[in-house]
Amino acid sequence: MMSNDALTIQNLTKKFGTFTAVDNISLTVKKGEVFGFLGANGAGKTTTIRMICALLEPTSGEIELDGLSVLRQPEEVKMRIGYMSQKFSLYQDLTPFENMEFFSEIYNVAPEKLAEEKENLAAELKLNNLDNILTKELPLGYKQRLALRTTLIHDPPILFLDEATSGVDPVGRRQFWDQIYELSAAGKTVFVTTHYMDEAEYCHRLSIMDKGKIVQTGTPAELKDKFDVSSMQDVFLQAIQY
Amino acid sequence: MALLGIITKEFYHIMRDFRTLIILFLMPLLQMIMFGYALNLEIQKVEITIDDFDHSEYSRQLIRAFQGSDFFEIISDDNQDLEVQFFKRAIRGHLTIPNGFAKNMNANQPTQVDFMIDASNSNDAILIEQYAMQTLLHFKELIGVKQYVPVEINQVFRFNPELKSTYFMVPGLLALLMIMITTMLTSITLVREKEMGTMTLLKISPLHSFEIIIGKVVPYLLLSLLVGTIIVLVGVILFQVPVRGSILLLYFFLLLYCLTGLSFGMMISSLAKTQQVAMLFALMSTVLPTLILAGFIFPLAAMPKILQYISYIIPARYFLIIVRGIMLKDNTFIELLKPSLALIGFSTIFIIVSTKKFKTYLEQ
Repeated sequence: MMSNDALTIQNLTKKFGTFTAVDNISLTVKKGEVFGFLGANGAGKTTTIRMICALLEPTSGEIELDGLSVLRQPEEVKMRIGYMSQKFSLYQDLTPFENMEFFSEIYNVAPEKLAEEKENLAAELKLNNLDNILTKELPLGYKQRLALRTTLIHDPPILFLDEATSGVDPVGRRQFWDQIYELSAAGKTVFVTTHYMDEAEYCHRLSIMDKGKIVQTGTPAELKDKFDVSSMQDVFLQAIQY
Repeated sequence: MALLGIITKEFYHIMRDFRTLIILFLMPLLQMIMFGYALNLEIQKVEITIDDFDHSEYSRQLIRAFQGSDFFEIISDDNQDLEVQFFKRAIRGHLTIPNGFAKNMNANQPTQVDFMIDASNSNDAILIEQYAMQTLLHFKELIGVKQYVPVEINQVFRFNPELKSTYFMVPGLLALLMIMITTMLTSITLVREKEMGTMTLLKISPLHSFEIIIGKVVPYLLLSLLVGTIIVLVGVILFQVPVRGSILLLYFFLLLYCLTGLSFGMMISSLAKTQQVAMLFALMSTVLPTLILAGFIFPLAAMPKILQYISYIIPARYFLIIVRGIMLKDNTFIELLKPSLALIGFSTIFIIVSTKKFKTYLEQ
């Protein structure tokens, strides 16, 4: 019987020398949830994500991702993660298809699946020269869609979006969020970090981090009620006691 | 396969960077030609003047011996002042045949001629002296005089009987250019991923750091072998340097040497913060040490002990022994075991350090 949780964090702590970057946090994300992770720069967001993605060893605590222990099965965990950052993590001097091929190779994706994904990409971007145009020549919005498709090429159950909409215009961001909801509806768990408070409103649930601790967790509506404010912006500022 | 994925991707990077590719192949070609001709250590047509105070048959014979030699060119002195001639660099040597030269020889007496050499370039001066001695020897053979000499040295120059400097230059250039190119090639590859932000992509993937390092080395290894082939071909065709040993063995060691350079570059890349720093360090750490401390131009045995010890950590030192051994001496693998173990050792250390360093970077 598989649990309904995509991600469970228990008493997670990370110390760098005497500095405690992440201080005894616990957190649960359900399958299919769009979960927001908010915090000022230096609050410990990045350190937490690095530990979840098995890039950094925790000082203490447990992380379970899709039923696997991140500490004991880092290789399997990495196969179940899709990660997209603001830099889109694409090779600019490769064609879009070559980028897809590269991701397929390192994630061991079947050739049929790759061919299908290529077709889907061509259909979505309405471009038929994806084999001889370089990624750097694509408009930003196209790059973002390409990045999302390559990130999902190995069909990971959990997707991490690390400020993935930075620098994208409001229309582009709205379209991107439509895609996020589609993924969530299809059963994928989406873990989002963002600086945009309107995006925080879109999340099903979210946590706010401050000085290494999780100070608030709840749905946007719950949090707004709790602080008796009308926007997530005010929730955030009050939560970190600005 | 993940490794194959990295290799393919690196090949695309190489192919897309057309300018670098051209530089990569043109640079060694140009440098070979430049060095090959410019660093010619033989000198020819040394201008000399001759004063003959003997005016005998023997003295004329001696002058003819100098005339017949390729090394010297006798110019008429027009009774100009010798000092002025030397100062103007019109001449680099002056031969004086004293009065009584023939008389002494006929009487089987020891006799002397004076030869004055411009030693402002001491290397040239030594060479000119040697040429003069050879010419004198030739003269004695010509007139059939055997002066009393207790021990006569009969020199045989093995492996390079004509003492051609290209024989010495081409293996040295192969060692120098290959270490420079290979180190530079990989030195920027990891730093570039850091700068472009694609490192995150590799970090988050299930790739092992070892796979990433090897996957990046392999394409450059093939590329370097191609460059190495060009250098050897230029050496053989343009400078007529022989390859007396096995071609296969030469390639095996070339591969090993390239691996050393590439893994050294990879180590630099795993340590450096920016591409510029990596490139600069790759250049500085290969060119000068190889030129000076590898026994390429300056003999190691003549160096202070401390420099001799430092030379042990210069990979080119070992490759020079190998490549001279194969090209000029037809050495076998067993005879080259020691230097090849050194190269294997270097590569292993560099790969281990870069993998470890890369891993700690991944965990930051």
